Amino acid sequence: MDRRIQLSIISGFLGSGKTTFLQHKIFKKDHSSICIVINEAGDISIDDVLLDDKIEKIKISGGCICCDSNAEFVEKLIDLCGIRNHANADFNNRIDTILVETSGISDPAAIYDSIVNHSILGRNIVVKGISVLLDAFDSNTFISEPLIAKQLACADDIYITKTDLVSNEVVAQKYNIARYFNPSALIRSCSKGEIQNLTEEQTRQFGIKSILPDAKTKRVNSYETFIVNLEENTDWNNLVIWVSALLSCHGDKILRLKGIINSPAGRLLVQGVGPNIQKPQRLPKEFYESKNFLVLIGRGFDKTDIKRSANFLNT
Amino acid sequence: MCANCGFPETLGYWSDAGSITANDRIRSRIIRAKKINDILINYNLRFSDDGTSQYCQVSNLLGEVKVITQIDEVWEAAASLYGRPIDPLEKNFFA
Repeated sequence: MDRRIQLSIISGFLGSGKTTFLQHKIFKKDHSSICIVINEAGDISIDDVLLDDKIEKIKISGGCICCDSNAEFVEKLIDLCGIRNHANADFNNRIDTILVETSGISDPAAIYDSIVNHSILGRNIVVKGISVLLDAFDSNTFISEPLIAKQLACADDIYITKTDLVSNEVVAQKYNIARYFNPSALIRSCSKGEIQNLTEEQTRQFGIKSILPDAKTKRVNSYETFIVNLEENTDWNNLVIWVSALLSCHGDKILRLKGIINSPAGRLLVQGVGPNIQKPQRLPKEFYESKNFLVLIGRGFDKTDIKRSANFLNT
Repeated sequence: MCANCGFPETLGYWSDAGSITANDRIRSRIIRAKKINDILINYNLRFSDDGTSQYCQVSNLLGEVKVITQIDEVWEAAASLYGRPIDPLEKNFFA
């Protein structure tokens, strides 16, 4: 029996539903032997807010673990292995499973390589599989991202998420795209945490040439993260107006938006994918002490413009 | 259409999350209407929301009017009346 730590990588583009997937995956399981690694490309980690407090978490923010923060990632894993292998460690309560939630813009193959090729990690950890989530609701805005193709190509399992929000036709379209980039992965649907096989209608053949990126696409700028600091008394209405105007005009450039802000209804976590804002979630009381802020991830926008424009939020 | 809660946007729109009671919702809506009007004035447009019906109007000084039901649509309507997108990153978005 393999006594190494079983590690699963959960990847997928910005807003594809990784944190929700993880929430459901750990919901019914015994928490004592699971450790979650959460990676946020931005400087502030928000995703850990949504995951159960009792579970052991390693948070890495400020860079992707596939490149910039790879050293930190490897170091933390080595520490974990060290604690686990220690002579005084409790055999029954040790970590046996690691779930890695990557940032939306990371390359899972690089993460896989860095574990498998490492002299210490390779002997302590076995990568069980790479799961990649593909957002069914996104109307092909991001299909032209070369990163999505990379993520899909290295997947063992592909989950098409948010299938409850779209028609079978759209799911079939996404299925065909996933199959195009990955001829052998197991492709299933995952809606609100429930994993199901795709129906025959959802795997209908579809022409996808019109959606695929052109071979001659221009070289794209790299992603940038921008943090907007909000005051304690920032008005919810200001945020609604500013964000809706920003996404209406620049929805193609802003790939992801996340924020925590006070409203008359309590502390809310606002999340957006591309031009759409999802239903805000109310945060539990433990997070009432933390600061308000807004994180934007995108490309092609001018940081000074955003900084100046964001003064509107604090008026 | 309920005159008390006066749904300004279709049910389940994300800005609704900021209010629990119907009063909060109407209050938010009226505050938002004033703020949007203050912004659109910079573009020679007007925004009017009577607070009770679900329809709001964006109009320009030539008398052209666009009727909308959701805040997202405000920007679209204003852009079509103004001639180009209303960009919050530009200097004239708010005074």
